[in-house]
Amino acid sequence: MREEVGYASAALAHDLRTPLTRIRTILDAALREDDRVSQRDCIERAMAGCDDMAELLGSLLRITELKRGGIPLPKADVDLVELCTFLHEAFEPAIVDGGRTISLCCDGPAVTRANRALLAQTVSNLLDNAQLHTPIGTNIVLSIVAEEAVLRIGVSDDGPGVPDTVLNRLTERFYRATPGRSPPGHGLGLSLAAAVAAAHGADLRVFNDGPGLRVVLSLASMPDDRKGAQPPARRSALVHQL
Amino acid sequence: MQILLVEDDPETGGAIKRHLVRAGHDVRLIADGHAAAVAGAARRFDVAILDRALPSRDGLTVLQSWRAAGLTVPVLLLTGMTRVEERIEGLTAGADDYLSKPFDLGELEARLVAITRRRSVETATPRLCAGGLELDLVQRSVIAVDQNRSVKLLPRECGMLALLIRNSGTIVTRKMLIEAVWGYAFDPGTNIVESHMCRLRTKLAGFGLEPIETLRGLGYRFAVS
Repeated sequence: MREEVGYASAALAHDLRTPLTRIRTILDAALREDDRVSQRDCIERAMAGCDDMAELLGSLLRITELKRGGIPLPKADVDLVELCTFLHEAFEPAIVDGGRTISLCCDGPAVTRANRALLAQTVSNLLDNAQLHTPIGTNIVLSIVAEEAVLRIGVSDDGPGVPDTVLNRLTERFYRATPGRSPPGHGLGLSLAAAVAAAHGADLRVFNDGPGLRVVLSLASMPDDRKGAQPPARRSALVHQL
Repeated sequence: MQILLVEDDPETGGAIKRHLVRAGHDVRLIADGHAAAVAGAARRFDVAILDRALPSRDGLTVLQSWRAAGLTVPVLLLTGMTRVEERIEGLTAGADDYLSKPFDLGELEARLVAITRRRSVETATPRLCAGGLELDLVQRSVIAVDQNRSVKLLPRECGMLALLIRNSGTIVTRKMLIEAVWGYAFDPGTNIVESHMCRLRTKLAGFGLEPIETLRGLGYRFAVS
């Protein structure tokens, strides 16, 4: 644990120092530019660097809050089939445009007690990862499996996977299986997913499927006597403003 | 527009005010919650920009006091917090929209235009018309009026086109689309907006129409000729 905290602190310092250095250098260059178009380009890149830092700090804050358990986590009955169908529809065009495929496998019904927005963000992070860290031609599967009292949401791919030696480190904050800046990211996606799982009393595990990687989020199923007691939560009408 | 801007950070408040004044608006900047509550009740503004964290009285309490007094001024809440629950809390308290810091000034301006316009647009209609197109929100189909032809849209394509038509002629940012059409309070790493937009444009191009403009770094605009 102490080792992970030390690693995370060093990684945070590095992850903040790198974009700060980049932003400062870009702004320095902008000051020296005479051409207005070039100046504008520099400023836009510096702003993108600021957004990147804000995103990093936002994710880190979210993970810390979830781990500390200090924030209220409103939960409702969530229909996982509806949620995953929505996410599949949301991601499919972009994944296909990126040269990969995605399919949805579920044999409903699958209702759990959860925070829908956080769950949606978590599965979205897993789908982002599956697209970002696999080569073109990879097939991605989003699945829901109901096993007695447990519902398992899985995101798997038939890409190259990761070495077995790093499998257990993937949910650590800032850990990146691929060194360097490419693909983009701060190594917080799986860490956030694990924190969300823990906040639901759930479990997030990563497997090498040989070939491919499989991330499984296991949630408690609704007891039979509670099913149908109230309609499952869908996207909030307040957030969905159309 | 007559804008009431309530922001306690002088750098942020000053930058927002300069930008909006340059865009032709009349802006009154206040840095204190209690003073904002009084000012908002004393004079009619077209729109208010209200920071959540303020000295003397927080933004949410200020907003609640305005709504309790029957003030209907459209309000855009600004916040350093990003959780969905806080967004819902702000909207429940009577805000018309909610923007997390840091943000682009262009994003802020686009949202101000959208919330002032939303008040004057009939939102319950099942059909929206603009630029020679008629969008049927129930059937999720779009018709080229002068060609008497229609094409079916996927749910998210229909949502995007509806938001663009409702804001015809003004900018709709990527973040506005993600929030309104997908219900996300976060920006996924995958290009979900761009891919859906590409498919929507292809369908409209089948009518020989290209009404959706991309404004680099700003967003999209449904152009009405």
